[in-house]
Amino acid sequence: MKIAVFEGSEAVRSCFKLLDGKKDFALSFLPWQSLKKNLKGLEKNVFVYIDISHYEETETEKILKYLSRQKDLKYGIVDPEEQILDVALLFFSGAFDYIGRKLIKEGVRPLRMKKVLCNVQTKHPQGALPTEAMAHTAARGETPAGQSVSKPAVGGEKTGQKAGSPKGKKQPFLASVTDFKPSGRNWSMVKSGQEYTFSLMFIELDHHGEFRKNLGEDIIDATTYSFKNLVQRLVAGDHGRIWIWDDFGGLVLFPFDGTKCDAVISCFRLMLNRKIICIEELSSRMLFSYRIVLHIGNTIYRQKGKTGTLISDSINSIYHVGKKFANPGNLYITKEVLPYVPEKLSTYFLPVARYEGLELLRMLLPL
Amino acid sequence: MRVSGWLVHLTTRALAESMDVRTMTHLVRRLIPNYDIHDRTGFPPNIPIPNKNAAHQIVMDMKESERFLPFINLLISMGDAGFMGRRYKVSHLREIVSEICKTGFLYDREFGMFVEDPLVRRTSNWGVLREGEEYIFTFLRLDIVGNSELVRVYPSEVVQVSYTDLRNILQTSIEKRNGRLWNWEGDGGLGSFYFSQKNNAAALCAIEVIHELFLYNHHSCRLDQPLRVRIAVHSGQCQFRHNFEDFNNDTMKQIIDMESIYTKPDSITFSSNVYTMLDAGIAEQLTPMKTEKNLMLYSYELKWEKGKSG
Repeated sequence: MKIAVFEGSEAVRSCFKLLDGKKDFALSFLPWQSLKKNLKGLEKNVFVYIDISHYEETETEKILKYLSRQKDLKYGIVDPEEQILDVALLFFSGAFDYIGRKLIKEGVRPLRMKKVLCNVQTKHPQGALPTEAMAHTAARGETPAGQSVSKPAVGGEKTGQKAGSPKGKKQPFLASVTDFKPSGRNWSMVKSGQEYTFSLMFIELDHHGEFRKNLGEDIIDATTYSFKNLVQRLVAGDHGRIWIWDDFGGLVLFPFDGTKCDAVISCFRLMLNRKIICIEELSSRMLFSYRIVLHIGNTIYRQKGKTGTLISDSINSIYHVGKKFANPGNLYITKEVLPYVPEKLSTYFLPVARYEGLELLRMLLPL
Repeated sequence: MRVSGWLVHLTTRALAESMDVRTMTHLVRRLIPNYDIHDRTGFPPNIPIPNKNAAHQIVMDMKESERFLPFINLLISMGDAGFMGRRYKVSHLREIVSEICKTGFLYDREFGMFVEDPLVRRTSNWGVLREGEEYIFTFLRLDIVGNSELVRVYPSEVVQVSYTDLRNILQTSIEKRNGRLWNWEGDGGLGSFYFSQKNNAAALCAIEVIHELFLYNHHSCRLDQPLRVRIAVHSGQCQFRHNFEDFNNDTMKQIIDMESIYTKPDSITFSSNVYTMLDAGIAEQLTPMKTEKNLMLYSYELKWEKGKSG
């Protein structure tokens, strides 16, 4: 792990000497005056400590604000004079560590440092740490939301690997998405009328044509109402939003930043817990089933309810797969989603077919 | 529960305006069998007690003996189902219920009693169970497989984080179904269910924990090996104790045996008590187990259709 310390005193330097020479840490000391200049040039996988003792009070506030605005920066504050009165505020604004006067005297032990880094990893599993995830992030060419990037040169197909092969799964983004426009980690950057890349999830109750023959109107209404609420609630944790909905199912959008696709876990969970969901959540004694298709693709975003005139190849394709191809009670993902399936879960997806230009994989079902 | 002066006043008025002293006394004797209103108020037996005095004394006694909520439950049932062959219209009842709800309780129509609102607080007795009284609970016991080895092999912080994650999975699943996590010892815990369909709730909770743990192991577990658990679900009588160490009865011993002797890793064992009370949709997912002592047990484990790649 690389650690950069912006400091200007021997005391601060000596506080890190217990980490010096340990194979897990690569320490470097930089002058505090060059903080802003050097931060820009630092790799993302560097944990940064900033010694604030050299700043005036007003300058300290400015520096702390500046640090909290840095999106990918993982940092800790070194405060030899204990100027900070409310340390918790630092953590609220994004700091991961605080080293006060007493700790400077004692020195930072390797075990403590590991705990700090562990905490960083917990809160930013895809964040800037020297893990595999980081390497993949870099390889995928992560960009801020809305900025277009050209298609990466490497892809599963070009390396000659079969769709669905676990070996191909960590290859970076998207042979078929020609114009990758990440929509970000949440909805804050998404604007109506602009084109973005989303995770698109089609979900629909199976056999709904039979419902009207066999079930009363009240039961159908109660079931569809509960089902919509359930989908809404379960996808909300991963920033998913129902975008288009008719009586029995619809389309859910998840913002996609090019680094991870949490929608996979939401979908997997929906399939895994289908029986529990039917018993507990749907107001009926019948065991319902539903089918899901998950794809990553582009569409122009418009507000819910204003999608009537929308023309999108991705949406057409996912609806066709969902309505015409998908078997009842199954989850399908497209090849575009596979690189974002957690490695251990990828063995639960088998390639099944190519349909309307989409290579599809089916999830094995729990019995 | 803290009974405010206003609630005492309202209840006193409700009693005094809705029934005579004889009916009040009969009502109280449902909770305190030998209750003597003359003895309590100090009025000699040959002198009639004014309604208001009797009502006030009864309400104060209910408050002091911590039977206020059960007493209100009786008043509600008096209005709904009647009392001693007659239906009473208890005045101010709506206001009384609304005052109680303000203190963080909900009226459970199914059980005909007030229970604490889980959105306001979650206590181990649901706000209503009384120390030392017998109730029928459904228990869920979870134990981490190979705890000693995990602690020996992995750094303590990694083990700690993994166990905390597991505890969160368990607690979320239990509390979602109005159960309570009564105990967590670091390598396992015990959840309890009392209200509503407690057997279904415990069974679904156990199944969900197995599923969530599967996702956790395949998605975010920090250990090099999957975190594995054994779960047992059993129902039986048990005296309620606020202090978990004071629980010591057959039901607890049985569930410990079920978990440690009969349960395979990554699976759940259900006792026949629980199995017979389950909805068909849940029961059909369980398979009967053969045990040495002809004990009827049922098990659940996550199985997959064949064809796994890799």
